[in-house]
Amino acid sequence: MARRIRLACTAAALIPIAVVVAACGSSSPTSPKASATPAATPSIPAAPSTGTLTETGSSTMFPLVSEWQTGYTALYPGIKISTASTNAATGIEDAGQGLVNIGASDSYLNSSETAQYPTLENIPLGVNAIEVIYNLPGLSAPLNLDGTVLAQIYDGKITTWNDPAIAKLNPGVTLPSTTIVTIHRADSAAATVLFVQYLNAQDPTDWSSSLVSSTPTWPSVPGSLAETGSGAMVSTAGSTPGSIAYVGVSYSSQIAAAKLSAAALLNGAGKYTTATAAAQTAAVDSFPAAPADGSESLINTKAAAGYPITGYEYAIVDTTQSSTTEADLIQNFLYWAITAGSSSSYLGKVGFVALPKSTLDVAVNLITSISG
Amino acid sequence: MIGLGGAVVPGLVLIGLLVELIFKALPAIGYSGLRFLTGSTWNFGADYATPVTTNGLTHLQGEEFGALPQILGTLATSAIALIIAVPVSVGAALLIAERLPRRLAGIAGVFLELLAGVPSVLVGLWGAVTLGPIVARHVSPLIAHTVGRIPGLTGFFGQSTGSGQGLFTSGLLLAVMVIPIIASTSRDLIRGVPVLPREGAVALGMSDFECARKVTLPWIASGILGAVVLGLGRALGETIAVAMVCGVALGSLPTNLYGAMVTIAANIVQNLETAITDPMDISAFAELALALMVITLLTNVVATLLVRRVSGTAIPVGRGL
Amino acid sequence: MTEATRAHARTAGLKWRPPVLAVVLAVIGIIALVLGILYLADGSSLPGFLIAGSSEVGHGHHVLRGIAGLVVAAVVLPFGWQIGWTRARIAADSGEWPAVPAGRKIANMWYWIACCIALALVVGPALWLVGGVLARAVPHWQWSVITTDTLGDTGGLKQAILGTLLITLGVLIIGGTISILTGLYLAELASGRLRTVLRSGYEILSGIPSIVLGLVGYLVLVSVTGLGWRYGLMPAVLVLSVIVIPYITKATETSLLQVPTSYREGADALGIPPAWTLRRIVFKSALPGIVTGLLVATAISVGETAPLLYTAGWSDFTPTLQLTGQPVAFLTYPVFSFFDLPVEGAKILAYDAALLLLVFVLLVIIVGRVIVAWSRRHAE
Repeated sequence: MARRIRLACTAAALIPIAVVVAACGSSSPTSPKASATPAATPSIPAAPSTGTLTETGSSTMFPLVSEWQTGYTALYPGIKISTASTNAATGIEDAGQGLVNIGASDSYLNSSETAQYPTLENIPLGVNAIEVIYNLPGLSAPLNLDGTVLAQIYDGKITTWNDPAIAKLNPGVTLPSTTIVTIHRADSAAATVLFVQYLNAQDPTDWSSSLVSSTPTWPSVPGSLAETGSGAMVSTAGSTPGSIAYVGVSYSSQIAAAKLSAAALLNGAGKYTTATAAAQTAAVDSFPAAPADGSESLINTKAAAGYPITGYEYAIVDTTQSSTTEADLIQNFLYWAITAGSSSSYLGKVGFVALPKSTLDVAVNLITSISG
Repeated sequence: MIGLGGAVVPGLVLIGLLVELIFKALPAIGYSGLRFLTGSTWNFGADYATPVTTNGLTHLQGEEFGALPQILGTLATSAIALIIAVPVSVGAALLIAERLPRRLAGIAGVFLELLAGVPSVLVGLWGAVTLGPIVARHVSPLIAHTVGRIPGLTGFFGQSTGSGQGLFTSGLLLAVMVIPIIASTSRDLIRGVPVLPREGAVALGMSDFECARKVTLPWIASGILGAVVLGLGRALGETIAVAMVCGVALGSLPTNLYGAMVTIAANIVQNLETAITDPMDISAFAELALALMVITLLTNVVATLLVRRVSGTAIPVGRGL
Repeated sequence: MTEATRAHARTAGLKWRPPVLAVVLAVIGIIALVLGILYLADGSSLPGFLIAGSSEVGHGHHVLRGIAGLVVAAVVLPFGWQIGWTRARIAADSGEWPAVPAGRKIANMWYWIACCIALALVVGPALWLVGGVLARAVPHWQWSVITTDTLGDTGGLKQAILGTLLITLGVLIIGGTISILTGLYLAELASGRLRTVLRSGYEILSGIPSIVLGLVGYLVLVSVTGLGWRYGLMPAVLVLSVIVIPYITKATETSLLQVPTSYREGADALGIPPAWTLRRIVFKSALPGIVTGLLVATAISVGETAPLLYTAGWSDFTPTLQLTGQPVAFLTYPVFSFFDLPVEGAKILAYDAALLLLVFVLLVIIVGRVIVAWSRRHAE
């Protein structure tokens, strides 16, 4: 009798499938043009004919990795890739425990993570930028802000938008007397790391290095808000007049839709720049090539045209994989991602820019060190 | 014997659940103490700095677990939901049970079933992309311009009206989810009212309104109360829909009706991923779950007692079809 | 005012006067109603003198005026109607009956109006919700979504659909077995205090929020500090089973208790062994109720999100029967995770999943109705 019930229920559960008329569309794979090539032709193994690859981590990276997944599996139909949008901490944790092949992170591994998982390495994949957004509908041109003012806003020393410190950076702009509502990420976020690194780089007195973390102890500011996820940052900033927040450049369309503006930020050369692709490239090019382990901060560029809050996006990979085939696949995929996969048709969709040539070589070296 | 084996499973699960939660929550209880109930700051701690040890408990620097805004947020959203849902449900139930022709009543019943059966995530989706923006553009400004002008109420109902992600929208969504529970129960209760007292009322010349107020509603009042408490249980524990429209503002109370906030359940589902790497954070989440469980179990016990004392009327469990 | 009433009034010796006040009130009320609707619809289409001074405050002011108009109409119209009607009745009844005070009649009318509004507030959101999802999902809908692999935030939903089916099947097997056994035991075998204790077990369980069960499932089954099973089919099935147990148990117990005693007595009188009676007679007549309970369980396991996020995980790989260590996709995940991604394809996928869920809910409701109708017909 119980079997019959189960059958009945299975039948009920299968109805949605049964009523469906399946139709399959096929898309013809086209390989996009490569944007850069490394100096020497590296010994990247060919992709195995079949295999699986798993990725989890940064939600900022997720749309890009999805694009890569589509492009790569179109080239190699035998390869199956799974991606998921969690957060960078989960990506690192899962990569360290061998649950996924690749963890996506918007910042390089910190000391406690490398101590916990010594075989993990961080491979730069692209360059991201963090924008500082604000809700002041009356102003047309982007406001000029610098690290000192931002640090003083986020530690509660500056409380209104017409504060003399802000007015000094924006001569000729009529600033409203609106109270500033600071918004920061409540969850662990690499966007936070990059943002507070910038504050610390420009103003170590107002923002000490002990406040540099993906979940720092935010100074207590009355009325400040803590949000989970980039989407919530944008929507809450959009709904809170006088608010200020920071979010990855891939959310630029949402920022515009919420009628928010992105500030022009002071860089290390004393110029104010916005997060255009050119400004990001200029910033990245001004830094020396990444060290051999790929961990490099790209904050507060000295290039006049450079945008000051940029950072590498990383693939967190265990250098010792379960098998040679797996290691070959990871190498081939990552190499493809930073060469063919770094054309503007991929990166442009999320507002990232490609790795500079020098760092590309470092990344290739890191990729070739993955073994089975 | 096999039957008994099956029958003890729910009880065992329940005991295991409690033991696990209490066991896991102990470090956080020791670390936060009463600040958990009185504090307003929620901080996952600095994961880039080296952990420190205080009172024998290892934790991240700056970790702080003040759950007061979440507890109040949970209660406030549910309160808004009930304030809206109770009159609407009872009114609709009266109309369905007493006035609508059989066929129309059946159709109304289908709508109640539909509302009860729609997955929370769809309600959340609707709330986030359709209801939220409309609330922000039309409903909230309207309330702020009318109720918000009454002296004494400007603080809570006036001021900036938000993005539609916050307390008010969450309350509205919860109302939509609670209505089918209260309305279908009320309808069945009204249909169960004996016809004699109502005929008597009509014979005395009472109007429908007077009959409902003096006869029908008092007759079923406690049953409705039971249904309301069941609905409250659903509202308190609702997770995904609220997580999609509350704005997920941790560690601060909304300044007015429209502000971003968070409930216990929404915080758990949105931020567990961040907490996963740190045992103390996980412990704090266990404590949160424990707090939520205590709140909902209390309401459920009250519901059971009320319903049992009142009558033998069957109350459908939760969101039953 | 019919000719007959007027004639009646005449014969009763009362002079019939036209209800001037009622007509005036009616005219005012209708004007207020029309203006209110116009203000609410689009205030700018009104003649200039009506919207003067409101341009700088914008739409909010129009909405205010619109509401005010509707309120005036709502107050004035019933009064006008009642006064006119009551006057006519007084005239018609020639004073033999005491007139029902207008206040009571108006209160009664307001009562029904309020009830109608309440019903509209129940039906409206349901229609709006369904319509909203349909309006966003149908224009982009392609049947291929069902058979296409998921590729990150785009592609199809094949894995999610299969994963949800697999999880639901597992829940019906594990949760269903436990619940039916529990219900059977409680209804047929247990008695006295044991029954009360066991019953309160699942009743309390039904009140625990699913996120709490999901969290505990994560801590005990998934996390390395617990059993370390990792995201996979088994943790998801177990947690969902615990969630649905109260529903199926309740349905089983109730429908078994509703089987008429005469069935058992009849079987007993015929000398049929009790176990056989239970299996072939009692259980059979309780079956529609039990299946309805299983249907509710199916709807819950398909529609749950929160407890699955931390037990099933998410994967683009086609689910297999591997119980642990391999994350499983499920249909509510894309709705929750993809709807606010800054990618158009992800949003489309979210709405496609929402549409599938909605269709499924409608199917469950229809199947449930069919079962109820069928069992009613066969009960006699």
